[in-house]
Amino acid sequence: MAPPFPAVVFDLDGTLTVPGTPRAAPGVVALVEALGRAGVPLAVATSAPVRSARRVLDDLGLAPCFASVAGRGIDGRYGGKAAVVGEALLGLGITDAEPGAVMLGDAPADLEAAAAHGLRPVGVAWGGASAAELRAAGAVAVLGHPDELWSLRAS
Amino acid sequence: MPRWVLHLDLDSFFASAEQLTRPTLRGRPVLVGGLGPRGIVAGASGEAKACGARSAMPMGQARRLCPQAVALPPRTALYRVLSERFFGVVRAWAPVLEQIAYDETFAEPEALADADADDVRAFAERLRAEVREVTGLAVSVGAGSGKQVAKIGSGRAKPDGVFVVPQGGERALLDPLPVRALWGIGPVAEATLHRAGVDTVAKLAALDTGEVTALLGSAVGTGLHRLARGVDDRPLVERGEAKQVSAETTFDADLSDLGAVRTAVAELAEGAHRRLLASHRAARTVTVKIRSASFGTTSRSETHADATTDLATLTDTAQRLAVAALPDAGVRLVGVSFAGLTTAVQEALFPGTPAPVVETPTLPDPEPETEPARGREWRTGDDVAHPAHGHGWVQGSGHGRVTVRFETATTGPGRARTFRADDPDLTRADPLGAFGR
Repeated sequence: MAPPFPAVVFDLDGTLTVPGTPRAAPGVVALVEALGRAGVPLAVATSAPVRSARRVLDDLGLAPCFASVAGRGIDGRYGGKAAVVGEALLGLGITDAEPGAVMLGDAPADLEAAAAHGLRPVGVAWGGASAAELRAAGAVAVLGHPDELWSLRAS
Repeated sequence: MPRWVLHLDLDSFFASAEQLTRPTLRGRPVLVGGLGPRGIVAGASGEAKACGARSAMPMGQARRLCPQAVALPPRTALYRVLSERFFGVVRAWAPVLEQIAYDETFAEPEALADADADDVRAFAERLRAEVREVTGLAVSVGAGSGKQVAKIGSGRAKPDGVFVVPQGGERALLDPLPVRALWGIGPVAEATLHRAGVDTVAKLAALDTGEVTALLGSAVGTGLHRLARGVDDRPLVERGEAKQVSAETTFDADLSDLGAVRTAVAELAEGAHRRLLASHRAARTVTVKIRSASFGTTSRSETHADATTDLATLTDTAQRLAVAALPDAGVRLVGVSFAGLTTAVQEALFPGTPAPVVETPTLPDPEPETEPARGREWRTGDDVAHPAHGHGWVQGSGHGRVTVRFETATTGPGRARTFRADDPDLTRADPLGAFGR
């Protein structure tokens, strides 16, 4: 059976975590683990330094689920969200994203970066931005709970 | 005693590898990456970067910025060989490495223990010359008293150069930089510092440690303050091969029957087995971890005399261990790991093959190569062979025709010839043939 999504890219702060904290947002851990079990390649694309992002994922016990973590480089270089999303996909070995691949984010910049790479931009409502704001930035859906992602499955 | 850390970074690695093995592309803008509608740039040559194209950019955007660029799909097998050759040279010169990527590493050569800046520059130039001789690629080298300045130095050294930060010269390099250039400053710390009016490294360095820790907390603040003052004694960390491969899963509802646990263990063993095979190794030790809601975590392991890659053997062992470890309550989590990893099996099968290099981060797995010749149309970038003209690559195709440029790393720029797409003399070739003789 084909995985439900060709790939899923997550923003970190405010999407995987409660905004401004290293704590998992409710329901996110179960979603990530279920996607991982279903064989979906998973990546994180964040503006935080890669090292801190990995530490947060480690503490959540989610590090093994993510084959690719992209963020600010060790020299502080940050080429913008779209570049980080590109790096996150390259880290999964993807140079041609398949239709149906998804990016989840809580900020307009996440959704714009997703669209730049042809990923389906999906907003999350638990990061602080309003659903209207996220839709205006291109979100095809705004999730109230992580499990609602399953209704967008590609196969 | 001075300490010297080098940061080595191959210039535009993927695109340079294409220019090396396809000489017509030398001096021209080259983009490597996905060519489909959602393609991503995995590498851009210096000429393409001059137009604003960048790695990780959508391919469409890069092609608009640089319409004259040649866009090619990645040839992972080729890059892997070049990366191994690169690390072969570097490791011979500097056994202590911290590998960052397939094309980037820190090194701390013992030979530089007592060196001055001129010695370091000479050493770096000799190393660069040997990398070029062995791989055909340009590597830029930054050197300094710690990882931070060495990394910034290699950025200054590009393209194809050396940049040595003299001992004591750290502050001059770092002072004008924005605070986010310091290792480990995230957006939150950056915003905090900006609110306090601290936007450059110089201003951060000018604070006293107490002020910095008051702003950023003592855990982060102390280290950052030292970095800002040019003090960076962090050691290189060898990214050794994984000590184990494992898979684990948490169940939504506790498992209580033996059959279900055995099935779960078999599935996990299969997952870990895939990773074992991918790392070209065999395992001696099987460990099973079981967590129950009420009895905490138990693990059992068993070590065999001989390493094996046999899935049935590994699964049997894991299932036996799981049954032995089973609590009298529902099972919440099961994990299976294989350790005691060895390449012995591989060595026995292929005597003389060098041990695989350390797992390189972020290099995509080779795409399934060598499809049957009639399996698909010719695509730009395919490697081909012709009995009369030798090794070449597809420059373009369509309308039943295919244009091939015959050239390799050792031929110099070659001629383009056009064939019928079904010409039986034209066959798919191993990308490694592009190295030439």
